[in-house]
Amino acid sequence: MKPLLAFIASTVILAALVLAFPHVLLNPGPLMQGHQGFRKDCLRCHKPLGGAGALQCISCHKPADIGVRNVAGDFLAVDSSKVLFHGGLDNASCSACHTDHRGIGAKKALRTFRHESVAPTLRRDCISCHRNRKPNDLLHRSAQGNCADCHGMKKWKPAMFVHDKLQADLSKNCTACHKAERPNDNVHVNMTVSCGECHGTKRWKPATFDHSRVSGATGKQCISCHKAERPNDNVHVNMTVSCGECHGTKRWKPATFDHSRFSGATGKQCISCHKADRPSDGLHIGSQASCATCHSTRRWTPSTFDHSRYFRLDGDHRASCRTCHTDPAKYKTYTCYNCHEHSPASIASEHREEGIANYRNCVRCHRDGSEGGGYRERGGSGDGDD
Amino acid sequence: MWQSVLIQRALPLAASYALLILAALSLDVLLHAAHLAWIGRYLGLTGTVFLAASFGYSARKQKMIKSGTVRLFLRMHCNAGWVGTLMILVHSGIHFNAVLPWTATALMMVVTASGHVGQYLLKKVKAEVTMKMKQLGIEGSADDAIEQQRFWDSVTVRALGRWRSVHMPMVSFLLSLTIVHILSIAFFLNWR
Repeated sequence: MKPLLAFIASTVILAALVLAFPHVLLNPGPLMQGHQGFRKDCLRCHKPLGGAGALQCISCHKPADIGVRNVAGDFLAVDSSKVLFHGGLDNASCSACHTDHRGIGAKKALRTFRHESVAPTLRRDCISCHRNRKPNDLLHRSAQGNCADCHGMKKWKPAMFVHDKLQADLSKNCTACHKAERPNDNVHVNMTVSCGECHGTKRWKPATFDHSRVSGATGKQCISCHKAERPNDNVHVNMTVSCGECHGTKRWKPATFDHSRFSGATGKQCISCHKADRPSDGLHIGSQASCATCHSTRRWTPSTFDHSRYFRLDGDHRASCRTCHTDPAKYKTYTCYNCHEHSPASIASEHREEGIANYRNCVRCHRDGSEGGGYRERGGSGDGDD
Repeated sequence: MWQSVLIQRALPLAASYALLILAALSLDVLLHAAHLAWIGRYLGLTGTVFLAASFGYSARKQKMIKSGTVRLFLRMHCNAGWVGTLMILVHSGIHFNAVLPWTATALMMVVTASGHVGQYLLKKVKAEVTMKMKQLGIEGSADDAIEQQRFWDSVTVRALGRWRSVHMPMVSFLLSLTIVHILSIAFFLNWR
């Protein structure tokens, strides 16, 4: 029971002390200078269970009188630099900007200013309150309209700059403000037109560069600006013509490559550029011929390979490649003995009857499948290769 | 040196108290940095709930609560007291400077320190009882023995009596300060 008694006794004593000296025990901080007169009278501002409401404030501070008269009713000296905005405020909004118990100085008891509370007409006229805070630079001297068109009400920065607000003569003279930002490269140093011809006002990139604006010799010498972008491969290193002969000014690809521009030996040696493109099958690996023998410079397929140059595939000979070319690694070899018509014994017999001793390379005499297609060549040494 | 009684019993309790202060300072800094200091206002309420829960131990000893081991309630008393104190400390960091709540905060820290001393004394008593039980050839641990009401009374009266005579009045006064603080806040608060 002892702790309970101690609790009751101490609670009663404490409650009595709090009631007698609330300004000592409960006061969270000194009142501002103007409120010092009732520092012992908490209920002057605080309503029991109702907080410190605006009603208590405006009982002394009439909103329409703020800045005009003091609480005693005496007129204040006129100060033209001050805007009397309290008159248009909501009567219940005092505590939105003001508090107390922060010390003697009234400014310590100011909360963040809420522009939303100010009357709309005054809110649109920023300069009426902030007249001494407008920056005196070229940009702001030229800017027309309201500050709030670019700046927020809570912070000066970041600002949403709208170039349309600038006076006409300045809006075309970008470098008047952006002089330090002008790139010092070939493209920009020689440029005489306004930045706005290529760049937007919101972002520097992407830009819509019109190559036709680059005048004279410079216009043909792409490399004077795009030197670093020139590919270091065989095709481009040896190229002497202007980039514009193959590439457009809008995109690098697709390019319109004209093989006829390659002069002399280089033009015939496709493989010097297309080494990596060469197929690794038996047909292409063994070939010593120029690619152009079978392929055109416009497209790889269809190729222009003419099998009839060696043997015409007509009649019963419209067969698949592997019927005759049994080794895919060696397309130069072939055999005619895979059909029942052409058995080694019958072929040997027929040719001996004709007195032909060398009949191993069939296509040497037979350029197609017709019976009479062969022509006699004595003393040949055909071996089945062509 | 690490085997000494002082190190084994006193060091963890001293560390617990230091950690309490460190955690409160860290939380206060974090809340202010994140512009969430307003949370501190509500930690006063939750902290008070935790401290109130720690009184379950007294209720169990007074047999107002019939079930549950006293050891469990003692652990709850210590843990809820620690967490509640932490929350109230953070709550105190929202820069209200009235005398009464700051007195309550200061006394709360003294009471928490006193609680840690009480834990130290209890551990010491348990160790002595265990040793005497071994000397007398009694099997079992001191924890089990503490469950016995007769044993608990003797421990309370003889070994912890002097400590309780200091601890409990402070707790009573802290309770008074807390209640008057809560009532004064409620009185000045705008309930509408």
